[in-house]
Amino acid sequence: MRILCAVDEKPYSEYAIRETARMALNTWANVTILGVHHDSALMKRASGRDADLVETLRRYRELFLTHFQESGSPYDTKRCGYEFMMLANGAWEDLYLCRSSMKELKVRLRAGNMSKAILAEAEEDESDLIVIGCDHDRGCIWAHEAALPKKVVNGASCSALVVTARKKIKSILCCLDQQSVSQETLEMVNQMVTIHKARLKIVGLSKGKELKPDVDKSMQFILDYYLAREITPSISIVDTSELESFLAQESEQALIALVMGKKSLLSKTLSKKKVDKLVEASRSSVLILR
Amino acid sequence: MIKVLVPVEADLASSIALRYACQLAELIEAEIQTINVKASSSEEYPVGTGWVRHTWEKTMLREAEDDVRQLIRAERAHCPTLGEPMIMLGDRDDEILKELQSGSYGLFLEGTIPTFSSSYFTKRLQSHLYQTMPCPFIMVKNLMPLNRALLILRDGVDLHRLIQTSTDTLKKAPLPLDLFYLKFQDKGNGDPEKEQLKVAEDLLGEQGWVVEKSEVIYGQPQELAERFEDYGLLVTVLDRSLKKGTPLQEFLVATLAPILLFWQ
Repeated sequence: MRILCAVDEKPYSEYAIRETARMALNTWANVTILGVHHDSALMKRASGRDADLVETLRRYRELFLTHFQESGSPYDTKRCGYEFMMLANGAWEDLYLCRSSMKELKVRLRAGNMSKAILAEAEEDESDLIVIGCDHDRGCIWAHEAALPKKVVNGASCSALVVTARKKIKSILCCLDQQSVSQETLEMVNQMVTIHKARLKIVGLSKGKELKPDVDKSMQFILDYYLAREITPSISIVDTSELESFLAQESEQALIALVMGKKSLLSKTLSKKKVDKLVEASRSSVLILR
Repeated sequence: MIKVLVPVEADLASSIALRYACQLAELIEAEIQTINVKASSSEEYPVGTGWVRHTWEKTMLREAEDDVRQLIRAERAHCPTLGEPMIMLGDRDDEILKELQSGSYGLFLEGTIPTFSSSYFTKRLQSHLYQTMPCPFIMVKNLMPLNRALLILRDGVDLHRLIQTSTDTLKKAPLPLDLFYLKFQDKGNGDPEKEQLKVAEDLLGEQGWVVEKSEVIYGQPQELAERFEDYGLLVTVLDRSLKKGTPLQEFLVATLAPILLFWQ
């Protein structure tokens, strides 16, 4: 798994780092911390870097690594020392070896159009998940590009998590409608449940009175998947016509996870504008799973 | 031994109901009888006569049997005592009611997946089947671990009936039990409610039940429903004329825990 955590120098980004670290602690993901700066001229200047942002990024790296102090870090950089190694002739020699980290922790910097920079990095790095924080008090905005979180959520081809520092997450509400939900998606939700010690609520979408047989089957599979992992999810059905009001109500307390496949009913029901509205108004974190 | 009737179809709600029934059967001596009723209304299927209809009905029954047996086989992995299902053709609720009336059942248990809109749950409670239900019933909204039950008292509840029917149904299940008096309205001093709780505790004690927590709880329906989400079973008694929009109705709709109900 590859996680891209996009940050600036604002406090909400620190929370995104903490959330990324918590996920990485459970998944041992390859992580890139990407600092983005609005000034495109920055990279061309002699220094090539914004001193404040550089300092912040280094602090974020340390903050990230503090989560691994007790458990042994897969991100430890080169560990060098003498080790006996077998040679081709069958003899052993005490050689000075340097081993690289088991997992990557990259800290990168991009400048210019910030949302485009994040999306470009996610594409190039083949990220599975983008994590960003945002200023929820002002409608989930970023300092130098207000609509950045929404642009990233809607523009990413991978999953995206917009985190908020507001409240403890008591429950994860996973909304799906597809016949086949990928193992990765289920596992990511599983990780969120574990990290937050939250209750899992699974929501199936119906169009009209009945749940579609394929969604019904899918929910049975998902129920069994989590029960086997000793998670007891609760299940609800929501009609597509009521989805918006349902999400608005639930986003007061629950992390909303939306499984949005290209042809899914959920994608058809929730237009980009509606997703924007949800991200903007949600008092809790929003996870878009693709 | 209590006889439990569980309607099943090849769907999620039935799967949840069956597993929950099996949890219950581990706590009390219970015989689980499953029933599947395949609709035979002329709206859904062509009406024939003589051998045409007879052959068509036999085919329908065979198909229903295959689906349901498959479900039962799958659930038997968790619940080896599950017997063979009864398969019938007809109106679902009518056939279930007939079976309940003729089969001396002590409990009816149905999977009812919660919906955001309250209409399904309320309609189900107002249906002919539920309104004429001859025994207590459990509406299983979710597959919660059956490890703690909550007996709910409210204003206007027939305390003796609530305790008697609850203990008759749950027998001497080794199930930790809490007893809450719910107040959806303004706070009072709680003294009359505490007295009722004391009476209820004594009645339960006579039946061999020990109450672990006994409290008067104040709150809004949604808030209380969320608060009790961890219970494996909520138990209360209802008036048949439960009205939409009342705090109790809103609470029952909002709760995700399975609920054991019976009519006052």
